[in-house]
Amino acid sequence: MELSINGKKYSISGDPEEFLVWVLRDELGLTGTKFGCGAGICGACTVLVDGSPVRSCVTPAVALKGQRITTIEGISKTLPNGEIKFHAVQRAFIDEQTPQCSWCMSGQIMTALAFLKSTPEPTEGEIEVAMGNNYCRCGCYDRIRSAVKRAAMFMKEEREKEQKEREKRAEEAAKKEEAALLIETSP
Amino acid sequence: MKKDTSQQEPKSPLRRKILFGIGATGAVALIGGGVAFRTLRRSLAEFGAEDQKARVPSDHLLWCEIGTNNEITLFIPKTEMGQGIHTALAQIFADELCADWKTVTAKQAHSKHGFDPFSTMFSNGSVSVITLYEPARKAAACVREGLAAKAAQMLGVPRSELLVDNGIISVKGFEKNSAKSAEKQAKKQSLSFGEIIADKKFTLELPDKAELKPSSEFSLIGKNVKRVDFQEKIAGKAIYGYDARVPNMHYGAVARPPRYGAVLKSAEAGEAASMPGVVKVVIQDGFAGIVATTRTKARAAVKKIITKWEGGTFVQQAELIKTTTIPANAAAEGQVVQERGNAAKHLPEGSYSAEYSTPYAVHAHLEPQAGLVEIKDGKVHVHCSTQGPGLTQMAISSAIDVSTDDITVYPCYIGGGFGRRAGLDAPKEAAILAKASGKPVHVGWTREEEMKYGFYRPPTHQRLQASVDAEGKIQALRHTISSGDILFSMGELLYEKWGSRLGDTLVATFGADVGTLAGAALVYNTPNMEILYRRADLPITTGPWRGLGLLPNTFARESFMDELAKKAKIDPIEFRMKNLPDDATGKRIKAALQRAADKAEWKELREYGRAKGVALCFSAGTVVVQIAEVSVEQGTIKVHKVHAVVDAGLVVNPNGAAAQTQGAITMGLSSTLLEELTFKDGLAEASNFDSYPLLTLSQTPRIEVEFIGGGEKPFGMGEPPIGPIAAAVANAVFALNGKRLRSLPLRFEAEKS
Repeated sequence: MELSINGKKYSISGDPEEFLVWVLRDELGLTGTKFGCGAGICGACTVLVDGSPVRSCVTPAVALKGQRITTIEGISKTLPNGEIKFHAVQRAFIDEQTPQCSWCMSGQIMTALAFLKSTPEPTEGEIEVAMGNNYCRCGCYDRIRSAVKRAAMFMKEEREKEQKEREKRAEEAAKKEEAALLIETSP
Repeated sequence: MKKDTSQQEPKSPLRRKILFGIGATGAVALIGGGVAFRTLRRSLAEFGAEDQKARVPSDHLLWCEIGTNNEITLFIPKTEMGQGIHTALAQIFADELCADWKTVTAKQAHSKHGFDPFSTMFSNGSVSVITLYEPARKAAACVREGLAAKAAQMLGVPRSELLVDNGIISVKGFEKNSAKSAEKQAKKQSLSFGEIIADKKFTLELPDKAELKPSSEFSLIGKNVKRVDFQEKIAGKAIYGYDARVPNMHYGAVARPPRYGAVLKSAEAGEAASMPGVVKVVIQDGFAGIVATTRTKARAAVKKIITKWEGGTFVQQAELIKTTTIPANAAAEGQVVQERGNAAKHLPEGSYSAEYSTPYAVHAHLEPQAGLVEIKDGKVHVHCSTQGPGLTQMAISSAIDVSTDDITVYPCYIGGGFGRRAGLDAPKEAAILAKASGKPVHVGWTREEEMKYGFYRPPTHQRLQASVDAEGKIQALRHTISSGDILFSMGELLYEKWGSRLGDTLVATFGADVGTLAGAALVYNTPNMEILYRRADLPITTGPWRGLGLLPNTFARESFMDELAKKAKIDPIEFRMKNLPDDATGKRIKAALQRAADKAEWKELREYGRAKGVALCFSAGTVVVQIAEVSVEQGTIKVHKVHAVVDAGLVVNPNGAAAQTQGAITMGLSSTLLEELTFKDGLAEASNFDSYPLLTLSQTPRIEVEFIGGGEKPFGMGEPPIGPIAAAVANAVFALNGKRLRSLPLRFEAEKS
C-alpha cells in the first residue's frame, strides 16, 4: 500500500488496517504526531487529510489511500544550514511561548492550521469552538487562544504580501507584454 | 473584653528545618535541625520543600563543554517536562559564566554523566531552581574564573585588569578603543572562550571557589528568555519517551489484572504464541507479556494469554469514601502535626465547624508512560520519560537482576509529569521483555492502562473548627486532615522489594505522611491551633500528584476562612489581613493579597450575574493569591477571569513562571469543576477521557499573572499556583448565590447550602 505524506510517497509494508498514528510513528518514524488516548478524544494525534483535521489514532491507514496526508513534520522547512523555516501557525505558537510539555502541540497546531484556512479572521468564540476538542493537560489554553489569534494575523500578513507580489508580478508581466507589443508594432 | 493577641510573639509558622530526601542507598533520610523527636512529629506540617539541599558534583566541568568554535553545551541534570527547567538552569549557568547566550545549547544529561541520579537529577517538589540556583552559579563562576585566569596568562595582564562579558575576556578599557586602534596594537587585547580553550600551552585549572556576580549585573537571570526546547518541539522533532527508537526495536504489552493489586498466579501462552507478529510470550514470576513486531500485534496477543489472578481488592466506591471520612465523634483524634497554644480549651462544643472533601484523581499527562530498553553486551540502555533517573535505574536493576552500574538512563522529554513520572512502570516492563527476548523493546501504555493501573491523587476528607472573637480575630482553630497516602506509599511505588513494609515503617516512625500535609501549615496568626492527621489506609494506591496535599488542603482551609469571614460579617480579604501575622512571611502574603485586591478591583461593583472569590497559599517558599470571577448559568459554573499575584522571590524567567502559574491554575480548575475518579469492584470506573473528561479551552478563563516581591533567592514555581484556585472559585460561587460547595468537583445537586 502506498500513502502520500507531506508530499512524499511512502510504501507501507505493515497491516493496512493499522491506525495511521502507529504507521506514522512506529513504521515511518514520523514521531511528531503524538498518541494520547486512542479514542479520538484528546486530539494529540491530529493530522490533516486533504486539508481537513483527522484523528489519526482512530483512522485506519487504508482509508487514506490516494489522499494527501500532512503531519507536523510537513509544514515547516529545514534549510540547508539547519535553520527551520516555520509555518505562520508555528511561528505564532513560539512567539506566544505557548507550549509547556508540548505533547499536545502538534495536534493543536494542525487543528489551528485547518481552522484558519477555512476561517481566516476568526472571532474569539470561533477559536474556542474550533480548538475546544484538543486537550492540553499542562493548561496552555489561555496562550493557545492568543497564539491562534496571532497566527491569523501572520497568515493575513502573508496573504497580503503574496497578493502584493502577485500584483507586482502581474504588473511587470503587463509591462513586458506592453514593451513586447511596442517592439512588435514599432516600424 | 478585648483579648490582645498582638502581645504574643508572632511565630513564623513555617520555619523548621526538616529535610526529606531519597538517598543513594534508597533510604529515606531525615534531618531534624536539633528538634526533639516528639516535637518533630508534632510539627510535621511545617516541613518546607524550600529547605531541601541538592547534592552537587565537585567537578564543575560536568555542567558544560566549551568548544574551540565558542559553542557552549550545558548539561542539564533535571528532566524537561514542560516546566521550563532546561531554559531556567541554562539561563542561570550562562549568566554567571558571562557566556554569549546565542552560543549556548542546553542538553539533557544522562544518568552516567556524573550528576547524582537520585538527588541532583530528580525533578520533584518545585525545588529544581531552589536547590540548583546557587550550586549552578558557583560552578559557572569557577569555570569563568578558570577561563579568566588562563586568559590573564595568555594576555600577560593580571586578572583584575580583565573583563568577562558575552563570551569574551578582554582587557578593561579595551572595548572603548576603536576597532582600528585595537588592530594596530601589537599585543592581543581580547580572547573568546573558544580561543582560550584552543590554546594548548596551558591547561585549564578551575578554582574551588569564585565570587558570584552581583545581581545588578545579571544579563539573563530575571529576563524573559525564550524557551530553549520549543524549536524542536514545535517542529515535531523533539524526542519523548514514547518516541524513542533504535534499530530492530520491538514492541511490548503486559497482561493486566482484573482488579487493583491482584497478583498473577499462573499464566499460559495459549493462542498468543501463534498470533501474527509475536516474537516471544514472556511468562515469569508474577508477570506475563508479549514481544511483537508492532504495538497493535503485541496488544492483541497479550489478551490471548490465559491468566489466573489472585488477591487484590474488590473495594467499592462507598467503602473508599467511608475509610476516608473522619467519624463524626472523632472531633480531636489524630496525630498532631502542628500546634500552638491550647486549641481544645478554646474550642468549646458547638464551635463553628465545616467539612470538605476531595476525590481520587488521575494525573492524565497526555503522553502515557513509556520506555525503551536495549541490552547490549550486558549493558542496559534505557530511554524513557522519567522524573527520577536514579529510581528508574533502581527499579530495572531489581526487575532484571542487573547492577545499577550497568544501567544507563537517558531521560527523554516528558509529555507531562505531575508526579506520575517516577519512571518505573513502562521502563521496568520493557526491561523484563528485552531481557527475555534479546530484542530492544519499547513499552508504551494505552490511556486505558493509565486510567486503571497507575496510582492516584488520594481522596481527602477534612474538618475545620474555629472560634472567632468580636474583633474578627481567630482565637482557636483545628484542622483535621484525613487523606490517602502520598509519601507513605513511596515503598510500593518506587521499589517493590520494600513493598508496603517501608510504608509501615514510615507510619510507625513519623505517624503522619508529610506529603499529605503540603499546604496544610496554618499561615494565619491564631494563638490556639492544632492540625491533626488521620491516615486513610486505602486499598487503591495513591501517591504524588502535582502539589501533593496542596490543592485539597488549601481548598478546605481557604473555603473555611471565607465561611469564618461571612460569620464575622467581615470582607473576606479584610478578614484574612486581620488574621495574618506580622512576620516576614505574613508581610509577603499581605502584600500579595493587597496587590491582588487592587488588580482585580475587588470592591468595585461587579458585572451583573458575576462575583469574585479569593484564596491564598504558601508553598515551597512561594506566596500565591488568586481572585476568581465567576457566573453560574443553568447550574454550570463559568470562570471568567483569574487574577494571580505571586511572590516567588527572585524569578529567573518571568514569562516561563507566568506559564507555570496559568498552567497550574488551569489544571487545578479542571479538578475544581470536572474531575472525579470512582471505583467499582476494585477497579477505576473510567477507562478513557470519555468517562473522565478534562477541562477544555472554552472552559478556561483569562488568567492574569503578576509577580511581586523579588529579592536574591528564588522559590518554587511548578506546584504552588495550583493551591488556591478551587477555594477561590468556591468562594466566588458563595459570594454570587450564597451556596457553599464543600466537595470537589464543585456541583450544585448533592450539596446542602
